[in-house]
Formats: sequence, structure tokens, C-alpha cells
Amino acid sequence: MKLFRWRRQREEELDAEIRNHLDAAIRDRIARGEAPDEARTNALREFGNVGLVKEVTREMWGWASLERLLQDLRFGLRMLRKNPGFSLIAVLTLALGIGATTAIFSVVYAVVLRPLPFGDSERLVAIWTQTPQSDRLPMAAANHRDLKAQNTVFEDISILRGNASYNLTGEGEPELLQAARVPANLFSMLRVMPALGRAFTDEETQPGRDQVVILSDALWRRRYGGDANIVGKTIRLENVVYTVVGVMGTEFRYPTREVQIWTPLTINPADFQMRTGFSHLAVARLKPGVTLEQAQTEVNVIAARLARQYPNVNKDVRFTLTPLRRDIANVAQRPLLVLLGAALGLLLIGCCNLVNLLLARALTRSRETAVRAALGATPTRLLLQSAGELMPLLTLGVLLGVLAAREGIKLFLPWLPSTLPRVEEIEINLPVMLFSGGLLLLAAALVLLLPLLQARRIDLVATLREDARTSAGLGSKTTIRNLLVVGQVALTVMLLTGAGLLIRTFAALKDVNPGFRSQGVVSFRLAIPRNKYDGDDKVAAFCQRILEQVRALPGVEAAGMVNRLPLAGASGLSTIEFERIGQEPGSLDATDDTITTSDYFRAMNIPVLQGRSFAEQDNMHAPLVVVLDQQVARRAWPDENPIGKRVRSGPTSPWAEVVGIVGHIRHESLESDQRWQIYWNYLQRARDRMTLMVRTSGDARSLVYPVLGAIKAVDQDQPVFAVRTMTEVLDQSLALRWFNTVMITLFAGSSLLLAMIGIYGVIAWTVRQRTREIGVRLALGAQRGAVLTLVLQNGLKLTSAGIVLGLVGSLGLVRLLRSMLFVVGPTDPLTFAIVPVLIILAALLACWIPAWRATKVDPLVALRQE
Amino acid sequence: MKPYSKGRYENRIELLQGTLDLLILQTLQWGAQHGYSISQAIRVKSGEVLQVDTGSLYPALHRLERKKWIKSEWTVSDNNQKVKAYRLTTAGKKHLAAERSNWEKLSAAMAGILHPAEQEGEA
Repeated sequence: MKLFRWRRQREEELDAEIRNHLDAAIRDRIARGEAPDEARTNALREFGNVGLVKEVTREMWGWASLERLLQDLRFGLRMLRKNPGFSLIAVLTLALGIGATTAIFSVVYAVVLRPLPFGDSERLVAIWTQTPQSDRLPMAAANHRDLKAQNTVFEDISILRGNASYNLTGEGEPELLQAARVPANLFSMLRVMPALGRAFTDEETQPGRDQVVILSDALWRRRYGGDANIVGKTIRLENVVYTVVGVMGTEFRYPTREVQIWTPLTINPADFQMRTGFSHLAVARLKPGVTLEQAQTEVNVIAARLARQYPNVNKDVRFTLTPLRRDIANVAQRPLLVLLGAALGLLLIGCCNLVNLLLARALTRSRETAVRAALGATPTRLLLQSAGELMPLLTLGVLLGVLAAREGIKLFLPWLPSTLPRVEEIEINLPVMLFSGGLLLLAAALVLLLPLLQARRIDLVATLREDARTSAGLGSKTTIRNLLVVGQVALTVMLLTGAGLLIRTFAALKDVNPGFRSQGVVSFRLAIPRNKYDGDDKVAAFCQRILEQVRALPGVEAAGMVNRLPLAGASGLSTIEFERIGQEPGSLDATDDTITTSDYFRAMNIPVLQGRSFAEQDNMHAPLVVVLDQQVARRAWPDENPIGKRVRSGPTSPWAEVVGIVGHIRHESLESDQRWQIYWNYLQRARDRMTLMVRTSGDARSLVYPVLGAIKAVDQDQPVFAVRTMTEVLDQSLALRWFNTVMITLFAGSSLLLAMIGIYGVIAWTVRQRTREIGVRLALGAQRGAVLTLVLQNGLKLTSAGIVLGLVGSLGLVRLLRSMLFVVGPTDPLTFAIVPVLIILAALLACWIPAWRATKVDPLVALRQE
Repeated sequence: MKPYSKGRYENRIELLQGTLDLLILQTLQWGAQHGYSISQAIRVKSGEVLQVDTGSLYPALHRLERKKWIKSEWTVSDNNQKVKAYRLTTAGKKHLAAERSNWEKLSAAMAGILHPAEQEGEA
């Protein structure tokens, strides 16, 4: 505003100055004897064009460039309207690139980069237990206690259990709440306090005093209408009265976003003797000034000490520290960064197209540019002019892109895999906007500077002559456009190669035999209230009654129960020791403990290879029995019959007899499954969280309502949760991969399209330039087929150069993908063979129209053109 | 000096870039003057040969002021009118001295080229 006032004042001063000049001139003329009227006319004539003088004078004030920019902007908007085809392609190209990059960056920012919503969060680390079989095992309570007592590097350590669940009853529909059981010190260590009420006290983590609960913000709003006086009120969990002591803030979603309530973690003194129950998440805060490396070194020392102290159980146990933010991003980090790279590649290809379009336009306007230059426009002025003309185009493209990203994210959010952490934090916020703004500047610089470098080299005289197409400037211009096309093709090759490898990996994963048959199986999660069925025998009997009801339904082939669904992200880690004749007790190995009913194997089509499954007589009063999977049995007793051998969970546990051997299944994930699978009998180790698996010969979905009815017939009040077909479970375990593969394929497909537009543009241009030459050739008797080949060859030459460059680049880049591949090698021959073929076909398609047009050249017309 | 002022005074001598600046600074050496009187002074002192176009004069004045070689102030003229007068600054005086010696070198060089016979005779 101040600026405008200052300018207006100068404007008035200039008016006065010119008025003074004229007055003085008139006075002079009158003094020399001219008549007043005549004097006025002559003085004005002598002065010249007042408006022009003012304008050139104003230019000296240093504001002219701003005004000119506005003019150019207006001009740019006019151009935008006048060339809708050009503008549409340019804007859409840019919007596509910016939109894709912005959307992916907003995900990367939320999942990988954004600091955790905890105080001083960069000092938080996750601690995982590492054994020869697995490097991400949870923490055993006893190891935690020793670490806490012996370290000097942590301010505090917490252990918690993240996968508890409670039946919420009382007012309203009963529901199963996901819960985390946490120690009193967790909240203070994370530096987060409840938004309402207070955190837990140490006293509340004593067994028997732990009937207190903290609610999540979402549950509090949904179920209790955001009641401000909720603290102090009671709710019923598992039919036990719990007092609400606090409500967490919106942002607090630790350890997972599924958590709806937090309850105190009580640890029995006996558990502190357990070095084998790997069941707790561990998180710690580094002391100020302590680096991750220093902490890791000390933790290694403690691990070595524990290994010496407890050789039976801790011999191969290590602890690894990871910054908590990276730990939470974990598996998603690499795929997301690869996706961001792909989006940037797409943007770059889009920019190349834009440059190409602009060069083509600059060429048709080269005479105008040359005239401007001849009239004294400086290179800076020309740059500013093209910047001003381009700005509306770029801005529109970016706005459209960001808008598309914002709407796209809303559309995508429900499709994002539930395994992706911190998904609810995804938004187009300031850092994301800054990133896109940076991209705009980068794109603008790229798009502006390249044609300008060219414009500077234009030979004015040659361009001004009618015969523009022979000028030297055009030669180098074509070279740049060719180089751009080569670059585009190379980038596209890399994107397609990446997409190809991921598609092949996905196909390979789809082909993996999980060891069970998912078709025709539907699962129902049950949470059996312990205070209604107090005692393992009653829980088991309740399960038995449900199974009997379900089996009686028409269409049911088999029904069984299991405490943990395969591939559903849950695992129950324990240890096992094998009894070997003539050998010392072997060391303990981490295993997947699963508790099943006898028919589980039939319901899942897991073959019983040796011996038998569980039976009626294997009850609480009978000797403990166990079923092993084939892999464990082979490793433990390579040359002996495993049936009748004995195993136990640890030195203090009772021995159990192996009664059967079943096929190995993929329990953890389809990609890798290192853990050994041990099946225990639910009659001997009852669990109150079971999943009912029902197999039918028909459509699994058709069984849902009959089965729900059967369960209600046994117990009217028994809630059922998470009804999913096994096929859905399988698909969900691949969701992140699926998302990633689809996105990269979309990006690669778009870039192929953009590259085709680029090739088409350049070839069409070349054909137009060579119309005369083609006319001469045709006049001299060249076959139309030969002309077609000539043009196609031209296109293929560029494409081949791009392919070679792209393949070389791909060989370098696929190494980044290695950890995301499965079965397929990073130099998968099929992918590397198909991609060039695909691109050559696309290039031929893009060249076809200009080539066909070239054959239609009329020699007479072509020759007369000059 | 500007393309669009061409043709208005066809027999006028075109001033070289920078020459007008020199003339203005020189004119202001004898005291503050306003735009019209500067142009009149140049016309008179050049024996009516140099006509300063207003389209060159005012941009030059404003440019010189931006370079801080001259300074403008509103004063009251003899006939009681508020006029904008330009005055040479210290920096302007230094610049004038430097430009004058440049000009002398240039005119000597020009003279040398424009009278080649004498040069050849010496060579």
C-alpha cells in the first residue's frame, strides 16, 4: 500500500514537472513575440508525445518490470484461451505430475517424515529382541527388568502389550474393544498426558487394583458423546466394573491406531522369571546427549552378560535399537520412497513434454521473438516475458495438481492398507504445500530456461528471412528436442522396469501356496467372557457346543477353532525345547504357538501327514499332547520318527508328546516364514479369544448368517466380531504390496503415455520440416513405403537410444527394489525383455500418424511451398 | 536515441548513449536548474545544433537521480511557481570529471580516425 502511495506521489510530481516545462516554454515563446495560442501549440509540438515521455521516464523508476510482468500475465492468460489444445495438454501434463508427487509426498510425510506426536520424540527408541530365527521379536519381561536395572543410557524403559481386547457391555450394543495394556510410566516417558483426567499410577499396575481405564478420543466421542464428566464414571469390560481415569487427545494412537482403550499392565512376579515369553513391545527414551550408537553398544554388553548368565535361554539373544519414528514407519518406508521416486520420474517426464511443447511453440513464434530482439528487447526482458506468459499455465497446472492430490487422497484413504501406520495423519498441510511449491519452481526453471537457452542462439537475420527452416538455430533446437525424447524414453523404461518387477513379484506371491486352502472358508472372531465361563473347562465346553451347532448346519464341511488366524498379523511367540535321546537338552528356539481344536486342520485343508490330530480323549486330565509342523519335525529329528517324541516350552514346563505332524503353512506372511509352528490342544490350553473357521463346499459368504444364528442359539449374548472370509484375510495381507504395485503401474502407464506424446510431437515436427525433402524424394520416384520406413526409422532411432540408456539406468536402480522383490530377481529376464518391446510398440504407434501423413505428401504442393 | 523518437527531427544530430548524461551534468555545474532550462541551455550553448528531445531528457534526469549523481528539490521560481530543480551532487561532480576526460580521449581518437591522411603520412 505504501508502495502505491509513493508511486502516486511520483506520478503527480512528474505531471507537475512536465506542466512546468510547458509553461516555461510558452512563456519563452510569448516573450519572443508569439501569440499565446500559437505559443501553446508550438510548445506542445516541440515537447512531443506527453504520454510517451511520461512512460519512458517512469521506466527509470524501477517499477516498470513489475507492471510489465502483469501485462505479460494478462497476455499469458489470453494465449491460454487462444490455444486451448496446447494449454490443455500442458496443464494436464503438469497437473498429473504435480498431483501424483504431492499425493505420494503427503503420505510419505505423514508416515515417514513427520515427527511423532510425543514430546522430544526424536529421543525415543524401540527395542526388539533378536534371535537367529527372527530379528524383530518382542521383549521378555525378565530381559526388560535386567535391561532397566543395568543400563546407564536410557532415561526410562516401558514395556507394553498392544494386542489385548475387552468385551464392552452395559448400555448399548456390546462390542470388542482393542486395547493396549501399558505401564504407569509409559505416558510420562512419551511426554504425553491425557487430555482429560490423569495417567495410571504405579499402584494401579498391581494385580487386583487395575480396574481403571483410559479411553481413546475416538471411542470417547463415539460411544460417550464426548461427555466432559466421563472421568470417574464406570464402564463394564468383560463384565467387570472399570473406572475411567482419563481420555487421551486426538493425536495419541500408540502403539497402533486400532487401540481404543488403555488399561494398566500388571506383571505377575512369576513372569519376571520368564525369559522366553517374547510378548511385550519395548520402548525407551535415551538420556540427553546419548547417541543411538552409544546406547546400542551398552545394550550389546548387557545382552552378552545375560547370555553368559542364562546360557540355556539367552545364548543367542540380542537387542536392537531403532528410532521409534523409523520403527513405526518400518515396512512402509522403502515402498513409499520408491513410490515417491516413481512420481518424481513421472513429473520429470511431464516437464520434458512441456519443454517440448514450448519449444515447438517457440519455433512457430521464433519470428516474433527475433523481431522483439531486433527492436532491442534484452534477453532478460524476453525471459521475463516468457515467464509471465507461462506463469498462468504453470500455476493452473500446479493448482489443479494439488487439488487433484487433495481429492485423490480422500478417495484413496479407504484403500490404503490398514498396515500403513499413521494413515489418519495424511493431509495436504504446510510442509506438503511447500514441497509442491518447490516442485513448481523447479518445473518452471526447467521449462523456462531450456527454450531460452535456445532463443539466445537464434540467428536473427536468418530467422527474419522467410526461409526460416534452413537457419542454423533450428538444427540445435531439433537436437534438444531429440535429447528430451531420449530422456523421456529412458525414464519411462526405468519406471516400467520397476513396475514390471513389482507386478511379477505380486504374481509370484499370488502363486505362493500358503499351505492351506482359503477358498470356501469364513472366519468369526469370538471373545468369550471369562466371568461367565470361569475356568478353562467351561470355556472349552462352550467352544465345543458352538462347534457342534455349526457342524449341524447344511453345507458345512468342517468347523474348527484357532486362537490366531494365519496371515492376519498376529503371532504368539514362544520357545520350544526338544527331547533328544543321548543329547543334552537343546537350546530354546522361538516358535509360533497356536492353539486349535481338532477339526481346525480339516477346516483349513492342512494335511495331517503323520499320526493324528487332537481327539476327545486329549483333555485336561490326559497327558499333554502336541502337533508339530513338518519343518520343525524334520529339523528336530531328521532321521527318526517324530511321533511319540517329547517337547516342552521351557525348562520349567511339562513335557508334551508329539501325536501328529501336519503340513507347514505360511503363518506370518506369504513371503517369508521362518518360525516353527507348534499346535497345542484347546482342551488342554483353553483360550478365551478364539476364531471360528468354517469350511463349506459352496460360497463362503453364504454361511455367515446361518453360523451367526448357530452361535446365538448357544448363547444369546455372545458377541461375534471381524467376520472375514479367508480369501479376504489373504488379500489383506498383500494390501500394501497391492497398493504399491497398482500405484507404480499407474505411474509407469502414465509416463508411457507422456513419452508417446513426446515422440509423436517430435516426429510430427520433423515430418513437417522435411515435407519438401519428402516431396523431392517422391517426385524422384521413391516408394511411399520407403517414406514410411524413413519416418518410422527416425522415431525408432530415438526410442532405441532411450531404451539403451533406460536399461542401463534400470540396472542401477533395481538394486533399491531388491528388498521389495520376492522370487523375482532384480534383473528378471522376462521384465527386461518385455519392457523394450512394449516401448518400441508404443513408439511405433506414436510415429504412425506422422509417418502416414508423410506418405500422403503431394510432391507438387510440397515443392511449390518454397 | 530511442527507436520511436526517430524521424521526428530528421536533421538533428543523434547523441551517443552517455553523451546526454555528460551534457546534463556539465550544464548543472553552474547551479541548480529545471528540465526546460537544461534543454534550453544545451540548445543555446551548442549553437542550436543539439536539440534535446524531452523523451530523452526526462528519462535521463530520472536515471541520473537514481544513480545519485544529481538531486532534485522543489523550489519556488522567479515567477512564484513551484518548480522541480536538479542539482549536482558530490558524486555527480566526480563522475562528470571522469566522463569529461573520457570524452576528450574519445574525441581525440575520433579525430584521428576521421583524418586518416595525416596518420598515413606519419606511418
